[in-house]
Amino acid sequence: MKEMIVHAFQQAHENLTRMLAEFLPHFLLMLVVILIGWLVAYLLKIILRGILRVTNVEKMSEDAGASRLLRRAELPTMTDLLSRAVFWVIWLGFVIVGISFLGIGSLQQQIADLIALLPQIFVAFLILFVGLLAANFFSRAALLAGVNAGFSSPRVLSGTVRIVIIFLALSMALEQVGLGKETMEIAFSIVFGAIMLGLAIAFGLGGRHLAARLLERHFLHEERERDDELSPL
Amino acid sequence: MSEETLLSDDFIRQLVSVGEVDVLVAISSRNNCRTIGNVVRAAEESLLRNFRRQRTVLINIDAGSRDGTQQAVRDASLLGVNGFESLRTLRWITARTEGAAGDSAMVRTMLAAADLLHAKASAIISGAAGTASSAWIDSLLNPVFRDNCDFVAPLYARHRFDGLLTRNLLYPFSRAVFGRPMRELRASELGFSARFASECINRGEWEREAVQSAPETWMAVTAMSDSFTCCQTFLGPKLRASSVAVVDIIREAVAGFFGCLELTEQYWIRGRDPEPLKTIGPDHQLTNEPVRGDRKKLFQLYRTGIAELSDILASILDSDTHAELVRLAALDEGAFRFRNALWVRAVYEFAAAYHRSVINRGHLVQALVPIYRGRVHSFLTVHRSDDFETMEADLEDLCQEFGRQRSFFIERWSTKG
Repeated sequence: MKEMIVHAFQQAHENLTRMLAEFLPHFLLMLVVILIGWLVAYLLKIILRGILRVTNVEKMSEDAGASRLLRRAELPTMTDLLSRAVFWVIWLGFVIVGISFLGIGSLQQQIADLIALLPQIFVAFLILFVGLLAANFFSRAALLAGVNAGFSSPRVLSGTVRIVIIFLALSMALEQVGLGKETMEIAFSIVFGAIMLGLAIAFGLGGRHLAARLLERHFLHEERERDDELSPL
Repeated sequence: MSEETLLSDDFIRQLVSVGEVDVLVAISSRNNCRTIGNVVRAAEESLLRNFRRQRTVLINIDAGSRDGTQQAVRDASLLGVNGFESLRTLRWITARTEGAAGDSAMVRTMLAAADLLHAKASAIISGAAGTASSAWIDSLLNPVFRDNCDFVAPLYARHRFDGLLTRNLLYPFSRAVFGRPMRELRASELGFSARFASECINRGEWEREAVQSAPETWMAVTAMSDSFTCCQTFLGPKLRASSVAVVDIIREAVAGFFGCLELTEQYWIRGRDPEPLKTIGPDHQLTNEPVRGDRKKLFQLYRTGIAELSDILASILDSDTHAELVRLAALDEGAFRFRNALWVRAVYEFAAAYHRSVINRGHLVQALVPIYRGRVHSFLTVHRSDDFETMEADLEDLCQEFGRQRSFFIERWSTKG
């Protein structure tokens, strides 16, 4: 009995030693990969930050209004944000590759899927970022045009433009990573259709006289009503 | 766009067949069939009456008219000018410019023609100048041809409430910065010498946004900032614009002027002392026929603009200036007055913000529109019953205010964003 117990302990000890002997090199390899990944990611972050500063991305971001959004959200500057994003995406890639060296069977497929998804996640973030810039730019253009044309609710027009563009960018980004593709398509169609229908009804009911005047002016070549008669030049 | 691409083969063939000339008159046109006949006759009369012994050429550059303008030019030209016989053949050249380049392409084509023909004196006149006479052309050509002037700007008799952007911004601002009191910075009638045409055509600035949107302003600013002899000459009454697109005009004229400031920064940044500008004839003449100006609407647009564009204005203006504009917007229309000091400060801050590109430049200039409307409202109210002398004295005060705040502007302009 006693011998059996001792043997069992010896067996367990041998198994543990063997497992540790097998696991430790993989673990060390993982740590080395993660460390190298950190160095590579850090170097690329520094290089990218330099490139972004030279190419005046900060000015473009300020110009498009993105910097103001970031400041409001108490986020870092555009240059910092992009370089940090690249750092984390690259390091995360190395971490995932490092973990795969552990040789845990059930994790292998998940990790492979995650690695395959990384470029798509990056592209999705890029789409979202460009979408936010475009939304800000076009909503501001709509606001200025509305105010200068004397529209009664320029913010509604501007807000609608912003929401439609952000929603479009979001649906494209989610489609890129393959999340809720059909749901997003349907949701976008519903929202876009609702806005267009709303505008059509609003114009049809509220602006039918204006529409009639515009059509008459266009087809009967009536002279355009002047803004005022005072020429600025 | 290179000069080879700009000038068509047919146009160059016509220029070559003319050879060198002494005097050139270029008429720009775009759907001006109603007025261009008068301009053509005025130009022909001027050349036949005053430049009979000189080699002369008339050029019509048309920007794709579809209303029979070019036929009107031919018809008017065939009529001839009674009582004048030419000693030399009066040559005619026609060309068309197409596409989006618009005014810039027309002006560049005219300058290129003057340069290639080595014209000693050239004048540009708009086909829309329905009140033009041969005296206009004489007035533009004579200072160049007979007095060796390099650039001649026009002066017009105008309605006292017309040209308010010129009176309130372009003229006093340019006078404070360049030190020369040139009143019409964006004129469609000009005179210039061969030296000036050559300098302009050989500058590599034609693709710049400022030159594209305001080529006449660029020419005037170039003349003032580059040691050319300048003068201004009184022409007569300017035909009032038939339709007014305020936002488009401000977008082009103000953005063009701010852009020109950037191009000539080296000249004015150290501060220029005021210099007199030779003026032929009266330097201003105002008329007083009744016009409709909806002051209530202007005030409403100012008030809405200040409220709705608050975020945008906050990124362009100093907090004090912005707060003052907001305070004014809260007043009753009767108590509303847009003082010179605030207007000058706001305009200078806009120019500096444009230079630093704090937001998209097109958006920035559009954000000035409500503020301009507020200023116009105040101008109409204050000068409702003022005589011309009082209005002129007030303009002088405004010019002095632009001058007083010039160092503030230069400091703001030079501050890195």
